[in-house]
Amino acid sequence: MDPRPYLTVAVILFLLGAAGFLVRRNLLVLFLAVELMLNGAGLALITFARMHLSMDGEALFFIMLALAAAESAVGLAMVIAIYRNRHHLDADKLDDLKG
Amino acid sequence: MLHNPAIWTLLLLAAGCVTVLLFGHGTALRPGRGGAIANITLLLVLSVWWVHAFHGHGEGFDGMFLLDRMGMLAAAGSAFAGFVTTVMLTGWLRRQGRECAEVHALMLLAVAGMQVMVQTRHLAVLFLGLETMSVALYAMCAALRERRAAVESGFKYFLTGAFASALLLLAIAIIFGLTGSFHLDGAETKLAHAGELGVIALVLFLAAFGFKLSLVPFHQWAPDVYEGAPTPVTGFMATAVKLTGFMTLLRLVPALGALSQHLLLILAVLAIATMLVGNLGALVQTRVKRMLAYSSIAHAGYLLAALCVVLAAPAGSAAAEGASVALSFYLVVYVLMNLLAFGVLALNERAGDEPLLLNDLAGLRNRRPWMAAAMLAAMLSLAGIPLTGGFIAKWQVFTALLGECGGAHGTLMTVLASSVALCSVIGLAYYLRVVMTMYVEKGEDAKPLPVVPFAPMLLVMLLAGLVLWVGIVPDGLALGSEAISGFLRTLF
Repeated sequence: MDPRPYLTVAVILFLLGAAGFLVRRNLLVLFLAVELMLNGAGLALITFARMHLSMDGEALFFIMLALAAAESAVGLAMVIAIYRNRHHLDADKLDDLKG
Repeated sequence: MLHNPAIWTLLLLAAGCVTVLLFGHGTALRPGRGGAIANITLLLVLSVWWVHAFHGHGEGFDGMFLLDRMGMLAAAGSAFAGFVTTVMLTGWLRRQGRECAEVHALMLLAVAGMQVMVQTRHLAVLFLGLETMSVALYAMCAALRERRAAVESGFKYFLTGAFASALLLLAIAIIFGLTGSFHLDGAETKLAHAGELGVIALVLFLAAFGFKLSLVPFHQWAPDVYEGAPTPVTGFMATAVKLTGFMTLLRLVPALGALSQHLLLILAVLAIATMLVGNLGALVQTRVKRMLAYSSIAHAGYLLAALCVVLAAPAGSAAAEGASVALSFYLVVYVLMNLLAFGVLALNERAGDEPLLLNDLAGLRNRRPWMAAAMLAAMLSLAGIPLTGGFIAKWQVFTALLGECGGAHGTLMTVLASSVALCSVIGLAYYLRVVMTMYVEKGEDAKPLPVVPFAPMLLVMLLAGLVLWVGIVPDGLALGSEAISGFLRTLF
């Protein structure tokens, strides 16, 4: 198996996520960007697992899915709390704490 | 496998967490029992570690878990920090007019994640532990969800933390691709020929841990998050997360050293930048929690300097061993003195979400002489004044650095040692400013302080005593815990 196409897609996904995280300012989009990064890393894991013919990579991918779901639950709850407090989701206006 | 105390502590924590969620909620007439259940669980965990502290080494679960002194120290330390925080948090939440049992359940989950994280050299298990800890901490920061600052702090922590986790996962994936296994044992030779891909993995790994441990240039989130979170939770983040994070780095960095010959240089530059930014940032703060956040960044720099000595000394030599002992000792003292400082702040914070300013502590000597004395001990220890634990810890790191000045990386070590010395002097300025405010200013127009319950006050005094005791009898802590371990063994 040639891993290169899969790894290229994985890297593109990861970099798209990272770029989105650094550029976009809407909290939900930031959140989405992090999920994209995690999935890029997950695709790399699965590719390497196929390459080494080992199940370990796939096992970690499933653990990662569960963890990402837990993270989303906490993150989305906080997005709702922020919207209730402020009625906007703009990361640049999230500046009560500074100094 | 069942002799492995790691499994028992994890089971205890999980059971405690479920019990808190089932029975911990209170009503307006009957206050919750969540804090009490969490405290009992954490005390049980601590006693399990104490019973096993000086016996039993080995591994379990196909080498995924390993049991050694370093891991036990970090696991017991995180459970202790969790215990102190739970006691403080119960009173703090009550003063804010809230009873949230879920915070105590989350605390137990965070401690469980820490226990996993420090007792493994398996990267998948490490990731699992780190995430369990982090997700619980995000939610704990935003526990008072109707407060703007708390939710903002939680979300900022969540975003940076999730970003760091993605970086860490990619680093783990690359290392897995290079070696074909998540075990770091015996991976050194394969990693040594990794080339550029290995360097990328190393950079991602260090960036991820840089975020988690708030090393410069990944530190910007720390002051905001520390300020917005509930004060006892801030204390927990500043102590337990740093303790477990540095212990994990100490375990993994020697294996990662094969990835690049420049690792030592990178870490040294990070250490110097962290010390400088932390100390200079703390100088200009007027809010005490923010100042302590910068102070914890500065201390991360000193800890990283100690880690550099471990790397610089030849592997397995007495110097490397001494440096890792110095690092562990510094971590223990750091946990004690920061728990003390944040504990005093939590007890002096009024209800409501206005930040605690430095001026609020004015004249504390007259109003709360014992509390002022405890804060004095914390500040002197953080500054590294003799007769406190902080002095001995810093002295050990400093001598370890000086000892390596004649070695292969002499210049680097000399630069590191001089920056530790310089930054300690800068540090004096802002720690002593707190002392001056408490002891010299009158504070006649200061607002009234909240009533202090007995148990947290007793704990604060105990911590202050420990900080001073370690400063006067440096090996007292080890001897004391050996005695307690022996006593507990006779009981069971």
